[in-house]
Parts: sequence; C-alpha cells; structure tokens
Amino acid sequence: MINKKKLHENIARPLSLELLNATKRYLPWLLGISLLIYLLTLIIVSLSEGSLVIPNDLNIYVVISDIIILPMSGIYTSILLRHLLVNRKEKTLKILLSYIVSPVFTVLIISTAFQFLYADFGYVDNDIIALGSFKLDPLESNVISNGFIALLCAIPISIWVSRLDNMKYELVKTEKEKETLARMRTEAELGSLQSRVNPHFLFNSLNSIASLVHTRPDDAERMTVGLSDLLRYSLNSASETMSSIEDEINISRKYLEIEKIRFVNRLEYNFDIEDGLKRFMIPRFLLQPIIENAVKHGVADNTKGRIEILISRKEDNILIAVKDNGTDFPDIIEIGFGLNSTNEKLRLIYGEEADVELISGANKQVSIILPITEKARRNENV
Amino acid sequence: MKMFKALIIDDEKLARDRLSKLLSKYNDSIDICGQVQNSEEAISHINKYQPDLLFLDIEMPKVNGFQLLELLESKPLVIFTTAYDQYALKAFNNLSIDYLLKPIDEEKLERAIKKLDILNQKRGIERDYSVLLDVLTTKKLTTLGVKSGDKIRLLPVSDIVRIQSKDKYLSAYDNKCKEYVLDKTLKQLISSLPDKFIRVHRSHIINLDKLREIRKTFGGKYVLVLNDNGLTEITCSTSYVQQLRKNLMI
Repeated sequence: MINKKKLHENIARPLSLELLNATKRYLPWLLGISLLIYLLTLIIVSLSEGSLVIPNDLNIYVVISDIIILPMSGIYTSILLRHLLVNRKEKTLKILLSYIVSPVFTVLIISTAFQFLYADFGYVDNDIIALGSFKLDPLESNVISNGFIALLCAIPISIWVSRLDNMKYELVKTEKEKETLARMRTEAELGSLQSRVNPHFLFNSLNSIASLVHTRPDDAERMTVGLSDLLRYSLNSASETMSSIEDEINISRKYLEIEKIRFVNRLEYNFDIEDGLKRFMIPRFLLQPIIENAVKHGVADNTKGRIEILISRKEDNILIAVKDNGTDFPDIIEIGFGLNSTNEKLRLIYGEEADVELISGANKQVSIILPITEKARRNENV
Repeated sequence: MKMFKALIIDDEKLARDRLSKLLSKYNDSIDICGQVQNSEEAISHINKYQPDLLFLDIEMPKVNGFQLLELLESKPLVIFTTAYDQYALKAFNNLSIDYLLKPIDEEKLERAIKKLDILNQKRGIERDYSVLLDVLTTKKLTTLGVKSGDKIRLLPVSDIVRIQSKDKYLSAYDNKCKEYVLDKTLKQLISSLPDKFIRVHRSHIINLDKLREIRKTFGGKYVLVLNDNGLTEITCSTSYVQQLRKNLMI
C-alpha cells in the first residue's frame, strides 16, 4: 500500500506549477504559429500588391494575441478543471461554476495583459480589426462573450491535453531524493541483515546444551564456548561490513563444531581455501548462513552429511562454493532466512557484480561469485 | 489422572533426550511409547501404537510438524515444541494451542501436563489444525528461486516489475525487462507475494513500487506505465480498476 501522504504530494502538484509548465510547453508553439500566420499574410498581401506592403490593419501584436489567447485560455481552463476534478473534495456545482468562470477569468486576465502591452507600444486603437474571429476591445469589454468562445475552445483542447498528460501521476520522486532514500535504505537494510545468528539455531543450541549438561558435560562446555564466540562475532560486527576470509572461516568452523555435537557426529566438513586468499575481505557473516543452509537441507537424513567449502580465485573474482551431499534442491524452492539475507547483502554491497547460484545434481552446491574490490586488493598487500 | 501414551517427534536427538528426561518425572501420567526423528517415522509409529499425545517439533526437514498433522486421520492431543517461530506462536495464541519453547522450562511443562486432562475431555471437539498450515503460507516471499536447468538463480521479489501468466507458466520481468520463468501458477504465487503486488488483469500482476504513471484514456480505462527500461504499458482491466484505485487511493 502506498503511503497516503506520499501519494498526495505526488498527485496534487501545485496549480501554479502546472500553469507555469503548460505555459512553457505551449506558448512557444503558439507564438511560432502566430508569427508564421503574420508572415504568410504579409507575403500573400505583398504578392497580390506586387510590392512589399505592410497593411495598416495588420498589426503583429494583434495577430499574436489573437492566435494565443484562445488556445491558452483553453489550456489554462483544462488545467483548472483537472485540478478541481482530481481534488475531488469540490462539489459538483462548484466544478460547473468553475467550468464557466475559469475561461472567462483567464480570457480577462490575458486580454488585459495584452491590452497593457499594446498601450505601452501605443498601438491601442478603437478601430483595430483583429485577424481572428473576435475583437479585443477593453472599452466595450466584450470579455464575457470572449470567455464563452474560450469555453468552447477549452473543450477540444482539454481533451487534447488530457490525451497527453491527464491523470498522469508522477509516482517517482526527483532523482536526488531517490538517491538519498536509496542510500539511507541500503545502510538500514545492511544493518538489519548483517550478522544475525539465526534465532532458531540459537535456541535449539541452548536446548542441546541443556540436554548435554547432564550426559556429556565436556560437549556442553565446548558448545557453550563455541556459541559464545559465534554470538560475539555477530554482536561485534554491527559496525563492520566486511571481514577477512580467515575470520569468516574461523567463525564457520565454530558453527560447524556446534552442529557436529548437535547431530552427534552425523556431520563431516572440510575447508579448501586457495593460497593467498585468507586476507581478502568479504561481507561479514556471508559464509555461515550458507553453511547453515547446507547443514539444514543436506544433513537432514540419517546418512552421514558431508559439507565442503571451497574458496578460490578466478581472475578478478572470488568463487565460494558450499557443497553438500544431501538431496537436490526442490523444484519449487522456498528461499529461507539464510539464503535470502545472503542474496540481499550481496546486492546491497556489490549491486549486479555479485552472483548467487544454487546448483543441483551430482555437484550440488550454493555458489557465490564476488568481485575483488579495490579495498580487498589493498588488503592483500598488507 | 489418566495415563497418556506419548510420542516424542523431533529431528534432534539431544532435544528428544532432554524432553524424555524431563517427562520421566511424570511417569504416573505420561508413558513415553516412543521417540522418532522425522514425520515418516512418526506416521508409522502412530498407526502402530495409537498414542494419545504428541510432543511435536514444528521445524523438521521435508515434512514439518503442521504438515504431519494434516496427514493424520485421527489426531491425538498435541503439544508443540519449537525453538523460535514468531508466526506459529501467534497462531498458537489465537487458537489457544499448547506449545513449549525450547529450551523447555520445567514449570511450563508441568502446567501443560496438568492441563491435559481438561483438554482430553474436549477431545471430541476436533481441533482444526489446518489453520496452522496457513501460517506457513502467510510468510511473505522475499526471494524467488528461478530454475534454469540444474541451476537456481535467486530473484529478490522487490526487483520484480511485473508478472505475466502465459500458458502453463509465469514470467517475471525485472527493470531491464529481462524475463524469468517461474514454475508456478498465478494463484499459487499471489497469496505469498507482498501486498504491493496487485493484480491488474487476468494475466498480469504489477509491483506498485515500480509504477511510473497512470494514464486515463477517454474510454475510462487506466493505462499503467511501469518503471522499466521499456516503459512497459499495461491496461488495467475494468474488473480490477476498483481494486487498483483502492490501492492507490485515487
């Protein structure tokens, strides 16, 4: 559900802004058209006269104003109308009233403005014959009838404008706002995704400890210490986004040792790390959730579970593969806590450059491809 | 007090051991007739020994606790045991179903056992555990697995711009108009998608977050322009317009 406030902001753009936009959009065209008509008239008259003549009754200002006034009032009217219709609080009567009043009003304003313009240039003359279909005469104040014509004009124009952009809600914020929002979100999301020990695992382990404490106190002790390390790593990591591969492996080992006790040695694991990679930085708590996923789905049955973690380098990428000997990924797969947070984390940090794949078959694995970033490379030389 | 024949179902041996140890204190009312580690074993055990009471772990591989209950013809009394499941706990509280949180607290176990007699009298009224299955589906999807051959790629749901149903499968599209084929039906998917995904046509679902603009045509139809590379346009069918307007508050 879209936030009400946000939508309101987006739909109800200020009227002034819309009027300004429409002016910017259509006024140049109309100006161009009227100039064209003026020039054409001039050319036609000149051709028929045989020489360059500027007829007395052909005034460039009048031509321009006549060509512009009607369409512009139509456009303004349609905007006003749309505004009233979109903000549906208005009563029908009010809408009807504004339908009649607004064209009259806009014509009044525009013609007055033009009259002032002529007055400044000294062109006002009671005998002016306009090129258009009606006269502009401030003295006779034929504004109401002009308004009526504008109203008729407004109907086709508002249809035309509607075609172009009626009911066009800008649901996207400006680019800058979007960027800030995205950055804030990334930070918040990373914070929430980062380094959480799966609560399910945590409480199950505590339950196991409660069970072991009487029968196998040594195992209970080892498990308590291991669990503490795991929790500490997760709590300390609030401020850190990245961790060395070495740290990640150590913490994964602790995790696997706990699971080994819980599953009463139904679990075996092996790490295979290419030389020289241990100092590379990867996202913190990247490895453990994937291994947990492999344990959960791979070692479910009574058989002996085998987990293999391979980390290697291929050109500018680090490849991480977590293999298990469990059954294939199901066709309709439910992406759980671990994989989900892994995927989100990678996307927030690397964007499109990182990739996660689940591969079924004989070589069943979850594989992750990470780009080697500048920062990671610098660390390599330390 | 009646003697209850009880079966412990949990995939972790240590958890089963601990529970049976805790239960040994109540051997005047609870007789543990067995311990099993998965739902398949549980079914054959239940058919054979007809226990009155199950201590049932929810999260188990393959067939979970709720699904197991669905498979049983006559349902014994159930006390769920779970480590952490916020969704399930909510459902339990709503249905006043007994549950124990791991690590199990002795006092709470005692309380649950004392309540058994009362529960047993009400046993004629079969409890509708099927509601619990919905708990699993109300978890909203955040990532989809997209299968291609042996590989499964992960597609975050928030990346999806729109979903279109085609003959027998679904296609999801991201903001680059890239197509991801999903092996599901629209009906299966829509219930687990977040609320921002709405249906706008018999075969179209769109992500409201990826909606760029709406144009109203003169026929009164709404054309939805989506925020992807191709600015895809989808016309909202009349039957879904009402819902769309409600969602957008227009």
